[in-house]
Amino acid sequence: MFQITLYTSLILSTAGLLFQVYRFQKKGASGVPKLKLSLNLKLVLFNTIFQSKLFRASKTRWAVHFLVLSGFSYLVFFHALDELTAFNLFQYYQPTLDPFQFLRNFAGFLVLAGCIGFLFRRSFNTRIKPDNKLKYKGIFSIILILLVIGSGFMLETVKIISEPAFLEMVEDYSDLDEGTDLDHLKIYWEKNYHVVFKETLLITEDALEQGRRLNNDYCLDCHSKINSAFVSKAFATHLGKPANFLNHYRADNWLYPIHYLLSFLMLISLPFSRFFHMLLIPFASAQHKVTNKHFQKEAVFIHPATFAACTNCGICSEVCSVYPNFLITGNKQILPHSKIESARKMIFTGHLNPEALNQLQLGNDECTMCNNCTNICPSGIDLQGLWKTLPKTLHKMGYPDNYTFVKDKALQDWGNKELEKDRAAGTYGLTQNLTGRVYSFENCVQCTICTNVCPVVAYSGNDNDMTPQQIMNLLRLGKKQTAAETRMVWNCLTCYLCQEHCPSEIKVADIIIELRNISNQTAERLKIMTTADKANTL
Amino acid sequence: MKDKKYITCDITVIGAGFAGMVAAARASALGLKTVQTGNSSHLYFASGLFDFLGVYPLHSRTVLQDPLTGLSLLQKEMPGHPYSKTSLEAILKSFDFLTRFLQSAGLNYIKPEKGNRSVLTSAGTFKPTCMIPETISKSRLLKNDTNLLLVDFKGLKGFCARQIADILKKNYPNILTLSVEVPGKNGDLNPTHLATLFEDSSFLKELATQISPFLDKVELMGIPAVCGVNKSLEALTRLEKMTGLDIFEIPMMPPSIPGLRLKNAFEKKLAKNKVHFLSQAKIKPPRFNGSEFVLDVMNQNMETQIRSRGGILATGRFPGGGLHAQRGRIQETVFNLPVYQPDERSLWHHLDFFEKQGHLINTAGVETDSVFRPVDTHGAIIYENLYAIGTILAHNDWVRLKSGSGVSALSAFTAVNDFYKKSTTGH
Repeated sequence: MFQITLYTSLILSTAGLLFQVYRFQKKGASGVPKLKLSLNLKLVLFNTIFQSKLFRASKTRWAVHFLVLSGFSYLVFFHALDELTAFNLFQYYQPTLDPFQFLRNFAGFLVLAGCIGFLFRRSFNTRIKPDNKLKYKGIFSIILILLVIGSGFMLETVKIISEPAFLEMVEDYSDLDEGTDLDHLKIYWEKNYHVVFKETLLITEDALEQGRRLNNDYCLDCHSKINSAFVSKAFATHLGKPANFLNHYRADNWLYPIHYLLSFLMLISLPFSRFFHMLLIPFASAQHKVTNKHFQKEAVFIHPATFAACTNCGICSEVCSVYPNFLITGNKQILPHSKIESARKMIFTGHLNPEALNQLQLGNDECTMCNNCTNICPSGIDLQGLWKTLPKTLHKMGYPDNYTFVKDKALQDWGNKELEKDRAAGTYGLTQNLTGRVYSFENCVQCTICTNVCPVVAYSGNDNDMTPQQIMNLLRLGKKQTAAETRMVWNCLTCYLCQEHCPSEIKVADIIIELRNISNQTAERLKIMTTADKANTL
Repeated sequence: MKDKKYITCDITVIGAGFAGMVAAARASALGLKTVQTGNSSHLYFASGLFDFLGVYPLHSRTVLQDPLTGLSLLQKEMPGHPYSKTSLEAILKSFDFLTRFLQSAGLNYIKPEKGNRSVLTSAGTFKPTCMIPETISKSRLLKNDTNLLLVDFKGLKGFCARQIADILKKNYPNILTLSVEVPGKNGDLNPTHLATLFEDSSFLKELATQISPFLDKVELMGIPAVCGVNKSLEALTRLEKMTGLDIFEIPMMPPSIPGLRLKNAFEKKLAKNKVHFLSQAKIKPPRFNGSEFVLDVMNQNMETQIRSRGGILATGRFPGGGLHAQRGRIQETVFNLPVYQPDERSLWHHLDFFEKQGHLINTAGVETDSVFRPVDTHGAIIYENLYAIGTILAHNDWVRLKSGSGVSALSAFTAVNDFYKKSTTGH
């Protein structure tokens, strides 16, 4: 049974791993570096073994993480694989001997403490909070760890209290028969090893002394004092009445398969759950960062496997320069840890609706490329590289940035009927509504002073389709949407020179900003509509 | 966040048009602590030429060769006109002051020895005027048989050399034209941007190369008035050296670069004279605290309270916002001063647009005493230290009489002098 499940899960795990590698290669076909990036060995080493980047980012998080990692590594190597490791390394090794018994308990305790710390942080971190979907992402892996460790402690506990196990051991490792000697050993074990026996035994000084001698003869070579198994001992001593019940149904026998099956489940889920980050973070850390030089050669560098290394820890959002923008607009896709999740979803599942894609484009547009997120990312992901390549991908999917969209769009698309409905319904909540009120631009005498002082016109000359005074004229002609579509409203620097100089005291700059807002909103609606249409016709 | 600021000063000039600028210039030159409010952008509409008196009487429809002949007649016939309130000497003094002031700001004006000067305009007409910028002054060299080259720039609107030559060809047959292509520009060209190019020597070289085929055929050259913004005379002289031709500028449609030069010169020198300028400020109805004016002024982001002993109203007419035409009557907007105007609306305009005497609405405005203090219908002074200057003055059809700059300079000069005299003698 053990062998069969072990090999099955090993095969499944390997298959899953291969599947993931295949998926990364397939999805990343366009993303595979065309330029050879050299290996960042130092970072791989330090970040994988010591989580050096996490240590720099947050000491407490590093501590919590290290508890889990160190404890679990110990358990894997000296407990799960003891037949390969410990038995060969130490001649006298027995799982029930100190220091191994103590170390196993201690390691389990560390993992438990780490997991609780992890859950605590997830529940109370304010920066992850805005995106509740991501808050408990990866919780499956944590619960699985808790179950494996918990079942391990329970197994040890029921083994401690098990009378049948005691009797079996006595039969296997001693020549004691039913009788007083066995009773003495029982008394000694009840007192010192917390075995729970059905019948009550009369404890005397003499019997204990006899039991101790027998224990020395038969048991001590393999059984250290139970105090060192401090977690399981605590459970065993506080078990009370259910102990007899557990002994009767041989809990020690059926908890064992539960424990190893859970561990195998962990093995199988390795390529599909949060556990995968153990393999991906070294991969991500090995990638050298994308530089502008690379961009000039127009190669896309972000391998999907790198950003699959994300653990949704949210530290990037804690340092994000445009976090205040999120507070104003409420667009979660401004925050790097939400953005990377959407990007992951977009690449691997393709299940992002137009609205979500639009939000992602808008959010990514706000990025100032300050590099804070890349610098801090404990997984060593080149986040900024992703933000740089993301617009290209989005552009291909029909979500260019709004300026490009407005520039490329034909004028007749602007008169979309559904858009008209939106406009009539007052979707555009503009505070001043200067463009909707005649008196804000009717005084224009077309003197072109605004155009003459405009630095954009001075600089770009003819690349600018309309000049400020022409925009005012479009408004006077009732062509608000045409005015909103001009490049001028997007090229405007909002230096307010036009407004300062206007002899008719028209709020030229304010009007242009308002037109840009209208243009922006129209572009967003239009993008969603056209891609939704495409999806429908397909 | 509105932040209130308090300023105390000797005199507040309300308005930053030509008259307001002269008033602020005079006041600051006399050492008065001056605050000025308004929008100086209206100077973009100024041609840069200072008229004295171009036409009188109106029905004669002829240009005055010498303003003095018209002036004595005007003073006799129109007692309400600003020129009738003062002497020729004061008018000449005010021009003198203006010339010196602008010269100190780096802008040279030439005053003819005698009489009016005719200046070629972009419409192909000649305009009678008195003082002209030095960059325009060589238009005097234009005689009927002069070999003239007229240059325009592709993309610059409102100036066509061929059109001007065509209009002038009857009296000036020897005019050649050239349309210059500005390198790197193939669409609309804005005067300000073109004027800035003139301060770049490589552009001047390019220009000289394009002109070079004409050099042996002409002796005089006219270009639109876009020859530099800040160092116009320098740029013009350099171009003259490169080509060996005499060059003059031809004033054109707004936005006018000579107007911009005027604006820059005033702003530069007034700032140096420590005139406190509140740009684009809106004035709330003023209050009076004894003999003091209390003006609350709203700027885009600041509220300022100005306390001053004297006030100068230079808010202009309808475009400037000094006068406001309601359905039935015309109002003065800041102090609600009595406005001289036709009795009813039907009299505002004559039925014939080109009526020789002009339209009555153009004579509407604020009536004043001899030092330009507004008076009511009975001739009584309304506020001791309030003066009204410039185009807001009544009986002053400055467009037809071609006397805008003269009236503005004179009234500003006289008003400030009077206030200064009173404040120093302790009245």
